[in-house]
Amino acid sequence: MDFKEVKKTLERPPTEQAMKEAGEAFKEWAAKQPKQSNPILCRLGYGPYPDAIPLSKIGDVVATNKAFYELMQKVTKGG
Amino acid sequence: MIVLADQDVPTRSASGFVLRHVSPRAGLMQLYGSAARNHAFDAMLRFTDYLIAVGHGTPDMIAGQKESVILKVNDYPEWEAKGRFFKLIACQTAKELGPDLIAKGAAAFQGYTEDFLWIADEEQWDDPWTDQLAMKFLTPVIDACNLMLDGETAEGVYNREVAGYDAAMRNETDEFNLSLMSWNRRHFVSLGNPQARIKRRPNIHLPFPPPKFLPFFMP
Repeated sequence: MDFKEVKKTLERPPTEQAMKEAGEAFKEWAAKQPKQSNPILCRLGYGPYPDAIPLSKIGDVVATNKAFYELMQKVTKGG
Repeated sequence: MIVLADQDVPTRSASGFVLRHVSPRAGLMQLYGSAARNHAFDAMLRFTDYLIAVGHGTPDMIAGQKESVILKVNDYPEWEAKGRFFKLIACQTAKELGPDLIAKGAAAFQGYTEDFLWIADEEQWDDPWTDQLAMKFLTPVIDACNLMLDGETAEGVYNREVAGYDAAMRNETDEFNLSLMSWNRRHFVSLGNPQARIKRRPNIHLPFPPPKFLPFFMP
């Protein structure tokens, strides 16, 4: 899956259904990423979501954590 | 001075690049790992005109190792801000801590109004400065830190970091990475006097990397 399609799934308000579908899209995208390393999304902050998330697990966090879903919405909106 | 937390993958990754490419210029004026705590920070800051710090942040504070608060709004003596140039590699500190430092007399402050995000390779945890994934995200910050130690103005340092993000984005093909780089660029701010600068530090590059990090057992 192309990341542009993942971005599209993040355009809706953070309902349970929207988060679940975005999470699935992230999982599908992450499964197609190169496997030569163990990439982790890092940040230098505190809660309400982990500060180190393996790319393969981003879908799970998007699907279950509203604050992280909203962060990903904002991140992908501008770039 | 330089303060580098290293208790988890994000702090190790960012601190690793500063340790490899910036720390040699700071001499003894640095606190690394379990030494990056507030009592040592308070004792050393009076002898320097700048702070480069890597640690977890919130809108009103930055921590060193673990939860040791280095600077927190309304919880530090004003002399710690006076005339100094602060560059904080942390999340969200430009929301409240940066303006507070400037209000208390800091010459300049640079940081981020939102989370600072990047991709690192966990397999490089013991020699993070070789991490090619993280390098493209962190090189703009490292170049800006070095320009700061060259004695460049706050405006020049800010422009270098922004130009670094632009260059990284031109060379990036991964859409997710592009989004993260653009996010960091959009939320990077410089406050205070654009003409502020610190005393120039010698341009020292170590020809060999630091020893590999010890495993995660630090207190």
